[in-house]
Amino acid sequence: MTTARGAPIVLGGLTKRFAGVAAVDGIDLAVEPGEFLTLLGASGSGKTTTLMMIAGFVEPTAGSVRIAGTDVTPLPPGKRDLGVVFQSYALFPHMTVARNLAFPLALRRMSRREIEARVTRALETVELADRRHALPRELSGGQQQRVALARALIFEPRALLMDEPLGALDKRLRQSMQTEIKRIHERLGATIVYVTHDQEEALAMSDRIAVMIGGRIAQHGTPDELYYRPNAQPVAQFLGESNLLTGRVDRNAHGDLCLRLDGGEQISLAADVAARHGERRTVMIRPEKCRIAGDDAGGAAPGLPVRIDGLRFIGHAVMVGASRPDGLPMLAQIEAGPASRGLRPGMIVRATWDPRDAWMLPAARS
Amino acid sequence: MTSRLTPLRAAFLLGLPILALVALFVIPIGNLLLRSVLVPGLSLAKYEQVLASDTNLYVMWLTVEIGASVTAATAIVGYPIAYYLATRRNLLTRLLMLFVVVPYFTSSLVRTYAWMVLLGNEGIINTGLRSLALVEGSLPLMYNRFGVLVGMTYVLLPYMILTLYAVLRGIDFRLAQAAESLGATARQAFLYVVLPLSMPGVAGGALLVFIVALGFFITPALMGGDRDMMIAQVIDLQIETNFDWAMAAAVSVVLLAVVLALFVVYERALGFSRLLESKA
Repeated sequence: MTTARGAPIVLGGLTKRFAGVAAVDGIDLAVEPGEFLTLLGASGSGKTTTLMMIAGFVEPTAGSVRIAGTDVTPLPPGKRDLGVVFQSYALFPHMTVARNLAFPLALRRMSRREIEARVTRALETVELADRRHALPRELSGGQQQRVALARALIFEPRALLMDEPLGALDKRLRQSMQTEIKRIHERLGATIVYVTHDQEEALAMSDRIAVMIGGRIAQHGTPDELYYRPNAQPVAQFLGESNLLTGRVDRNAHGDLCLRLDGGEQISLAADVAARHGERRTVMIRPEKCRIAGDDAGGAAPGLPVRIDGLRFIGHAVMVGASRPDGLPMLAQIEAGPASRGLRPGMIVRATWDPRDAWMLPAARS
Repeated sequence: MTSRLTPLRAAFLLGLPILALVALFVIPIGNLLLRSVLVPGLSLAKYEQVLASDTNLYVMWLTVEIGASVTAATAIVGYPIAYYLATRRNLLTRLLMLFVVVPYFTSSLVRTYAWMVLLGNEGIINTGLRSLALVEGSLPLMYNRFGVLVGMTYVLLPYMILTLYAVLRGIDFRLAQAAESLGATARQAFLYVVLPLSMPGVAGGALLVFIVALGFFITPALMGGDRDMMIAQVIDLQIETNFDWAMAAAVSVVLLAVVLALFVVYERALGFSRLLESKA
């Protein structure tokens, strides 16, 4: 399995309507050669339909798919030269592991010797050399997954498409398979389009993530960009936990911009924030950027008085669930230690943060 | 989940089906065997007679030949229909399913007469062709091998379609997609993936149709000619005309033996039980 560097994939205005309803609504996206791009979204967001249009199983209502510069929209799946890994693995149950792997090679009329050599090499890569004569149902879920991956790569496709490939595995196996897929990706340099609804998986594996909501790409960027600088509330809420504070941009006593919340409290903003006085805006603070201080910390630090509702111990940290004066929830993830041990539900404390960690969501376009 | 069974209850629960089996299968078949060897006195004379008769052997061969032809015809006609029914869901499939199932509930006598109305010399096809001046006189569509094959294929088609349908419905058609993503054309995906996976259905349907076909009586009697006699007609002849129950029993036993022998050959050649477990 020595794939040449992957091919770029460009989607232009890709649209699929089922009975008039748009499942995928005009997607424009360029996947770079060798890039690991994840389509992340809830079920019904159109991510799988998009992948199936790239693979050629679903015919787009409008738009085009270009692979390595060629428009493949009219081509059937078999002519697109893409490896596809399905959630159900889709291994042929009547063929042994070796015959499953040989299938795409035999279709390409390779010689027996070439097929034999490639199958052996592929089995070594996924560490299943001793299972070559086994039938798929005699393998564990993780082993089946590895065979599916090897089969999708063995014919050196121009890109690899993966539809929730780890969805059927348990959590521990999922993590080791994530590492495995990452390793193979880095070694082969293949272009990968990966579909998942699991945000942790997306954050851990991707070079770039495209968050899909309602058939459109809500935002795409690196995991870091999406996590700390989401462009819209749904994106912020979809990726990890977030605290959202909404209010009107105002000036404080020193003449600096601040945000006056609907409940009347005022929070400081970073000096370089791009906001106009009087605008209604929302800032997002990730729980791990939030600290808990005693109520006597004074009003100087930006923050809010909150009432602790509950504490959840998660090993290295404690998740503090609290309520803001306006009744909305506030989450803070703090280090487990003497400070966290003093906290009890019902206590009134102060949630504080560095103003630079409060990301202001872009103004909603109207 | 499992409740404890007292030996008495177990004996009772198992005893009923065993009793039913004995009453409905063992006794009649045993009776048949006995009749064939006991009259007159304990001898195999009737079997000698059966096997010495060229007519009997010829009819036996015809029966197997007709059975095999009908089996092949139902598979060829039934597969596309079952495939269409299993892969699509629309108004046409619901209607088609009705067309498959309703005749199944109808007497094969009625269905055979229905074909006679269509195929006879004064039937719809021949009168239609004559009125279009396409033929003079009539085409020989009935009282020959063609008529028997059409009639029997039609009567037995539901067995094949329903068996195939059940197996095809169980196939994960994403496997065909997977094959296509690996470079197969739609035809290759069908040939290398769907067809092999549906073989248990073909094998099961074929066995069912073939065995039922061997014992067919009504259709060959009504639609066949003198040269299309099947073994059931010989048995009927022995009882109704010759009143020779022992002879009829002996022919039946030979038929049973032929079926069992064929089943063993089938099992060896196609690995029927292996196919059923889809271990191919």
